[in-house]
Amino acid sequence: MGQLLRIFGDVTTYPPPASHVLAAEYVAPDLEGLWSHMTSFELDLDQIGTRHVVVYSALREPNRVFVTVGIRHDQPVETVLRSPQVFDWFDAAGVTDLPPLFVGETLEKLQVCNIDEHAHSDHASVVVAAIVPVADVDLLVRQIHERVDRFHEAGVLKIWVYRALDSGTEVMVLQEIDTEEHAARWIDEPDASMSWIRNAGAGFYPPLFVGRMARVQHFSGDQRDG
Amino acid sequence: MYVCMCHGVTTQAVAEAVANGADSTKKVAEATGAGSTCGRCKATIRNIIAAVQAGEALQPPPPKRRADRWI
Repeated sequence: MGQLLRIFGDVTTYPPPASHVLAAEYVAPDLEGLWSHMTSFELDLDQIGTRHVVVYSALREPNRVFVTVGIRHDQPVETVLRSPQVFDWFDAAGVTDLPPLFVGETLEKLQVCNIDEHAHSDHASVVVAAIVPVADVDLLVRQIHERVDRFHEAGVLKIWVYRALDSGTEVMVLQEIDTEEHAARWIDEPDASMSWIRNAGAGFYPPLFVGRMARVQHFSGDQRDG
Repeated sequence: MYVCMCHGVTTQAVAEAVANGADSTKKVAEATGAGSTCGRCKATIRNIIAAVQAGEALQPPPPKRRADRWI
């Protein structure tokens, strides 16, 4: 049910605010500029309903980043995309050619492993991220649930699945894996339910991203929303 | 995925335009609007044109020791 706004006797119905995630993989020539933008331009990013920003840095190429931005907004997503804040984000990092941008909604956030188990490990976890087409998104989510024990054995800590707004068969999958060794094994020999990982980087899709969390920033609305 | 932020054009829309004969960024812009304003998505559009023309839009990369590429 949308919110009602009464102005001079007229009643206008607005859609309820929607929560979406924007994500992109790209090379950021100016990482310091990116960090500065994250910390100094909170109000700027807040104008498009930004709730949090997470930047992952690739293991082999630190300037290659995978960025996810959680937003909560009540305007068409195309309006958000063409907003100055989106362009400022790329400008701050020295990015001239804009990468394709994934826009989706959360389908699944699965905690595979008790975080306390991993907290005792000396190893920093690794994030494997992919934006890929899959034949059946619902089947993918169902299989993840069915094979969660297999993921646990492989060292997978968490799995996030997002469905693209512009394509019913395109997903972004983020997997947090406990060690580099386990991540390497998982990429080379994924579970059958994760066979789509072999399609990462196909055609015009971005390559598989393997990295670690570099920065995370929550904005005021994130706490308000709980 | 969205290619063109200015006009909200998706990779799929660009790929379809290329499949229908748009073989340059100029023709893609005429067909979809993508790349016709700030032009900062033209590199991505060129990648899509190349991928579609090569018939590899959805072909996976070689599977051997893939992890070596990232770790």
